[in-house]
Amino acid sequence: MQWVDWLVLILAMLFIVVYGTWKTRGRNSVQDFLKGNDSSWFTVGLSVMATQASAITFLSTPGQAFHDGMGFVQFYFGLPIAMIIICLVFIPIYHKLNVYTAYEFLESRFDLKTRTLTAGLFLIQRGLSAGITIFAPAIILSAVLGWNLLWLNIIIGTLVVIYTVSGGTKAVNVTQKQQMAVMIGGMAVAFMILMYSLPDGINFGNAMQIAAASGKMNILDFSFDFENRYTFWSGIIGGTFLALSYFGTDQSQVQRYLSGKSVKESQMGMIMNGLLKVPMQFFILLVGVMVFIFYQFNSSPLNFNPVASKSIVGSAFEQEFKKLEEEQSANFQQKKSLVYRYTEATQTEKANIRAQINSLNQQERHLRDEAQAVIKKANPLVETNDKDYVFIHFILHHLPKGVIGLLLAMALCAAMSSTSSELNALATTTTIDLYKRNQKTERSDDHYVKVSKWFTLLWGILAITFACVADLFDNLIQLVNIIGSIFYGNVLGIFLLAFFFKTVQSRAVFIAAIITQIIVVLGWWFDWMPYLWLNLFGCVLVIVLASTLQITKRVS
Amino acid sequence: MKGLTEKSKWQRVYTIVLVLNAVYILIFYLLMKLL
Repeated sequence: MQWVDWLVLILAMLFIVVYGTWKTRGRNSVQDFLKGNDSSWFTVGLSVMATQASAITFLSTPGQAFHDGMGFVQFYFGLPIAMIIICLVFIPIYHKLNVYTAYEFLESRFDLKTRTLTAGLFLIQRGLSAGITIFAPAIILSAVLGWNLLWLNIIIGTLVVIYTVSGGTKAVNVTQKQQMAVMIGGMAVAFMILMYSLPDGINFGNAMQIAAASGKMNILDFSFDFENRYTFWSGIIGGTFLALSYFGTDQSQVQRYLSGKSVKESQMGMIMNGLLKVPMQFFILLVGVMVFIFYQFNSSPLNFNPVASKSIVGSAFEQEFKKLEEEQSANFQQKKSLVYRYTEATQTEKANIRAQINSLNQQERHLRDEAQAVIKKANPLVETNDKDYVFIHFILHHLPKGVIGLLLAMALCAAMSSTSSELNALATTTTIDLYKRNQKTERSDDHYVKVSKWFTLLWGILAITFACVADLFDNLIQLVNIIGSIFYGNVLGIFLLAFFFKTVQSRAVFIAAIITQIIVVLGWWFDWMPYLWLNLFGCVLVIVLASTLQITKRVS
Repeated sequence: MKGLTEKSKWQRVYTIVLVLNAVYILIFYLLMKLL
């Protein structure tokens, strides 16, 4: 990294922290600090999008397209449907009851214990994932840049804590505008440079043809294959369900749209998300496909994770790895000449060349798999799946001075925007649902603002600590996803019962929720199904159990 | 949208969201077929 990259990176980070703190100075009512309900629809929309877009969205998604093509976009097809349901059902009720948290609503519909149970489940799940939101980009950046992982965790976490403690919800919203601008700007610049890097005689149309010939443009898959994670059907059905639970019941998102100055502004913000999410994800994946095209004309490493590649050096498997590298180099040269021929070929020649490109792609994939196996033999502990490292490798090795700093700022901004929403939501839930609800006498506004700030700081310290020790555990990110799947379904089920099953009462719901949680944990422990399906299982189970208990009670 | 009730306006907004997303999917389909 050159001094100009450092300058861009430091200026972008400092500007956001200082701006967020300065812009929200002097706000001292609970309404301002925890709800901040004076945002326009545009602010709400950007804030919702920035919260969902973590650093992993910008670092891993292009790598996903590089390896597996554009099919991942299907995962977002259900999101617009979920946005409409949230606009029609969730937002009007939350606004009417003037709640600070989604769980407050459950007390007015059911009872205190159901509210406390769901708030507790949220705190466990989101508390763990706040640490991962910091840790996941930090480990990638430390691997490729050689930065100290511990310090990187502490710096990202501290920057977020400064403005979130200082300005609360409003600070989260105003900083997310700048962060979103850096994120979109960074991706747009990367795309432009990728376009500019295409060799003479290759235009964007040719690039797309090459991508299609290599199987990267299989955007839609209408098959009913349950083994295939991303199909049109799983996107529409599973995607709606997942988006509904995330945007409807997760306080880190609910708090974003409750900050709208009216029901209409909140709804328009969600509509904005419903209109822009699919094109935005398509664009991020397209950048990944363009990186793939770039590496059809420029050599690439056999494994993009530098730590994995380095672990081979000096080991007993170095020669075996070198042989694979030579084979990959020959494969690259062959493919490069075929790719040039493809763009100038007639329709009849194209089918033949396409088959040859496909065969070489399969060979390359096989070589990469073999390389991963060799690396694993040399160092069983190293991460060999290099999906997360493809885009950052391109950024560091092929982008000009200054732009590298901008793209690194983009990754850090994405990490900060998600973390700040999470800390803000964790502090709000702790203050409103646990602390304030259990106070015997009403305290002053100042008192609750102070308490909220202390809780934000406490959750920030916990998240940073968790990020710092995360490296000690294997498959930690997967573990956090599993914890999410174990709780999410049950919580969504409780909310759906509250909204759509008017006859089901609190006792039935609470008992059903406890039984469901035990069964879901058993289901995960005895491996009844892939863990992502636990979401749906938990949701359906709590609805069926609560309805049955209610009917049984009425009959008896 | 002058003269429409608030409810009809929102119905139109939701329809636009669904139609536009269907158009995105149609464009993806055509892109796949054309390439």
